[in-house]
Amino acid sequence: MEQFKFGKCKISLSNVRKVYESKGENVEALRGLSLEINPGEFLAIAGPSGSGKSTLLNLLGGLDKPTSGKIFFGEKDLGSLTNAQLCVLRLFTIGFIFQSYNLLPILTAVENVEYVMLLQEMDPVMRRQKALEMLGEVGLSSMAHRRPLELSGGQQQRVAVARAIVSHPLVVLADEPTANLDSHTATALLDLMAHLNATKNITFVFSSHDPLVLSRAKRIIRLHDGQIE
Amino acid sequence: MNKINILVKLAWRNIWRNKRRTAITLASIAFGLCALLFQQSIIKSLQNQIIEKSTRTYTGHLQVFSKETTDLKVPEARIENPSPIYAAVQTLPDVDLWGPKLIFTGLISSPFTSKGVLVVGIDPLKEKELTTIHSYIVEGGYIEPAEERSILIGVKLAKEMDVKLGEKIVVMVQGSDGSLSAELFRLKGLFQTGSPVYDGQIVYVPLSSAQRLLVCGEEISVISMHLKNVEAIESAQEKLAKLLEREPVQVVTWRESSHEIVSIQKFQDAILLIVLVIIFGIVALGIFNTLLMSFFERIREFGLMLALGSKPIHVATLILLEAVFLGILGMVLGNILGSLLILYFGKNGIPLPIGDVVGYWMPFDKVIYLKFAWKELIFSSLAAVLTSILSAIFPAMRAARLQVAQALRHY
Repeated sequence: MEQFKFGKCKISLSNVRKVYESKGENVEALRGLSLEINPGEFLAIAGPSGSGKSTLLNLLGGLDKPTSGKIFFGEKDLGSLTNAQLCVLRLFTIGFIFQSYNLLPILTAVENVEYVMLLQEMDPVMRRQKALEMLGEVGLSSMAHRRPLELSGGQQQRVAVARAIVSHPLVVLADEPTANLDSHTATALLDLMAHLNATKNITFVFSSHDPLVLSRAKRIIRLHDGQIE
Repeated sequence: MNKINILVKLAWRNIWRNKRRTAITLASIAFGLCALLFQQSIIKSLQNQIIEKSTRTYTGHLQVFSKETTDLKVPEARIENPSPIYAAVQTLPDVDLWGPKLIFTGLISSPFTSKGVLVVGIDPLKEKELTTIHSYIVEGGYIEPAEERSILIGVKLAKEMDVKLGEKIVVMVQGSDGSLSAELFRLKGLFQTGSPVYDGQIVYVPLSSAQRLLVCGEEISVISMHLKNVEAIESAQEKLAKLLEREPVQVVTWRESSHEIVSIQKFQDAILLIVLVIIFGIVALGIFNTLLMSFFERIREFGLMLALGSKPIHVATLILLEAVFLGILGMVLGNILGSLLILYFGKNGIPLPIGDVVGYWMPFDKVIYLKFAWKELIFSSLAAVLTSILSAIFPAMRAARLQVAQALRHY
């Protein structure tokens, strides 16, 4: 499988615009955004609803393409990658944590954590071992064989965290990771992400307007109407 | 391999997420297939019965006629020297049973009336093995080899002629030398096949008597053969034709001599095909609906798979695998239901009015005993799975073309 060698690279955005068409009208979600994210950052993107946080994360993760402007992973321009190459990029370099859990409902917790490693064609025995270890790290060893519907919201989000980091991505993109969690669970999750950032030097970029999350970030970028304030 | 394994696992679990919907889809495939298998079995059993009756009561599988014969039902020309043909037939390993016949039209008279009939001169021993006509005798007995003046007629004809067993019947024909020839026979047996044509218009006499009556020496009209393996009929025909290439004869299969049966068979096969297309068209719409609904419900999930690094082909394969599972399960259920029906009606029979129609021309049972039509069963079963897969192509393509960010926003 084709892989990208990004090393511990910087992510750069240069004059990025994203325009959506909605009901026949153009809505500009990002208006000429330029930004640099250094390896190992614990970065929060703040802003009210509709400010462009999720759009920015989608572009950073190669889930969407900018209308104009450039996004670089190290030297690599994401705009120059094909969809297949973007798939590989996401698989090997980016971990995702979404707002509403986003686990595959028909897989157990451990199978969900294994999923990315399976796509990476890792040895099945090693894959299962790493997935169980990671579930242990997020405190869910006893829930490994339960399906998402048998887990609480916080437990599901921890499984999503385990899945995002199990294959040691360079970057974890988290879209409002605490939005559906109570404050106790949210704190535990932030502790976990901070710990992983500190120990594994994984870059964390998360969008949020939750003061609790913002208070834990090492750097905050505030968006308003698709621009950095 | 790992990826395929997980896709198989995902597909299997996915189809059971909405058990009711899956059950309805499976039922539609299963009932459609069951109906088709049942219908195919009826048609094929009927066809086999017609072919079996036709070949076992009259034609045999292969026949040798004079080259000049054009009417294969009532051959107007005769084989003048049948000895080399008898020899050739006996050397052919494909032939199980065989027998000569001399067939001609004539007039039979009782003390009360006369009637035009088809006279069939047979070798009693060979004919008894070759055809089942002896099994239809309801009164009296079959012609024994030494009985030169015995005659078998149908119950209907006997009634019309007002003759009883042991009474005299005169058969009159124009001999091959142009003279009017007559022979006296005694009624040995009455047969009742249920076919008005057989029971009212055909009489059987010993071959030697028929030859004497027709003043034709050793001449015969046809040699009929029953093969050990009817599937090898074309090869047997070819071999025999080669053996007889110097003789002024033609070797024909029952398909050529009973082309009306072949026409019925072709017509029924065409109807079967139309029904197959209609049934699977309906089934396809059901599966398509299920897969499309399932696709729309899971757009976000497909988006997640793509976001995590699955390739579009994986997502499309997942949907196709779900369709394969639905198709296979539906096929298995359909086969079980269809087989139960076929087994039941194979044992108890199914009365069909078509028996009366076919039975006019030849002996035919009015009850059809169903048998498995294996070739059609395999074809329909594969068609069920293929229909399921084809129904999944559109949803699979839609899934493969999803925009990840849009899919993740879908609720």
